[in-house]
Amino acid sequence: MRSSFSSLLLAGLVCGPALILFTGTAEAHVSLASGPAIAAKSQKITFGVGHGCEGSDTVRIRVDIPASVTSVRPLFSDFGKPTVIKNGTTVTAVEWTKSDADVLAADDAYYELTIRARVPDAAFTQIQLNVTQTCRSAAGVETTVLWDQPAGSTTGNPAPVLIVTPAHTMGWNKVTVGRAVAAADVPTYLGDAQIVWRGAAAYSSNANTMAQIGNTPGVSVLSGDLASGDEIWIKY
Amino acid sequence: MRRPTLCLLLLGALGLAACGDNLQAPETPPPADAAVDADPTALAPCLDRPTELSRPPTGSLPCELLPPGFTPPR
Repeated sequence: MRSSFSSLLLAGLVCGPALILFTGTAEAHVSLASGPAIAAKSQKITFGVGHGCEGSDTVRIRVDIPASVTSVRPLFSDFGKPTVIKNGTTVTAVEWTKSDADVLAADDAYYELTIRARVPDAAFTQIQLNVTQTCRSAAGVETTVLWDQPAGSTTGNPAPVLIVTPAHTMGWNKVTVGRAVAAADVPTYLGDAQIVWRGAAAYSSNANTMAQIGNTPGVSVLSGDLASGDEIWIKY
Repeated sequence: MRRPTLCLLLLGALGLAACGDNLQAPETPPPADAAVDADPTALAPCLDRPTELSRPPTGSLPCELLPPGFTPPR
């Protein structure tokens, strides 16, 4: 018993600082606070702005809207009033600007900015949403940071990426996979499901459910890529 | 003549008293007999629905996580 407690304590001492470091890094990004989106559905998409720029408060956020994302309408935010930028009737960007009176002297706040938009019928894809962040120091100097690089890029700053999951409702959903999904990407697209089945093989992002899968006679752990045309059962 | 008549009356009264006791006895059976006489097939309410009883964890997937129509191959 004492040995188990010591092991737990040691793990906490080793992993704790790593966890704090990881959290701090994640908060530095402009991220998608609303999580994965559902294909072919209008829904709210929320951006989280965890930090300003080099200690300065954020005063403006611009989100570029790709052509595949339609029916865009911004929500008003206590950050500032939104402005819709159009090319003809198509919304190409949304920009929120903070009023001068609300600018903070330092980078102390977390902001959330939301649009309502229709996501294309393209399950198992990712949509890059480029963001431009503008900050202003207490001395009035403005700086701009672009969040426009694809995931994995070694230069610049990563853009928020919208994960598109299959259209579904709560409970069991039978889905035909529309495009190949690499095994490594299965948790990305289906990690928010309770369990996923292909034939007698199953996957869950929950470690306890994965242990149950391994202990069920005749059932194996889902491994390998999902091929286009595969029929899978997903429970949300 | 008077003495035998009195004796007969006393005996009759004693007989009636004895019969009265016997008639009342079945109305209040002794408690110890209840368990012996109970129906041995009677079930407690929760045992009438054995499939609804919680089961000890087996470590395998619960039914609600098995997809519709799925039967694990053996």
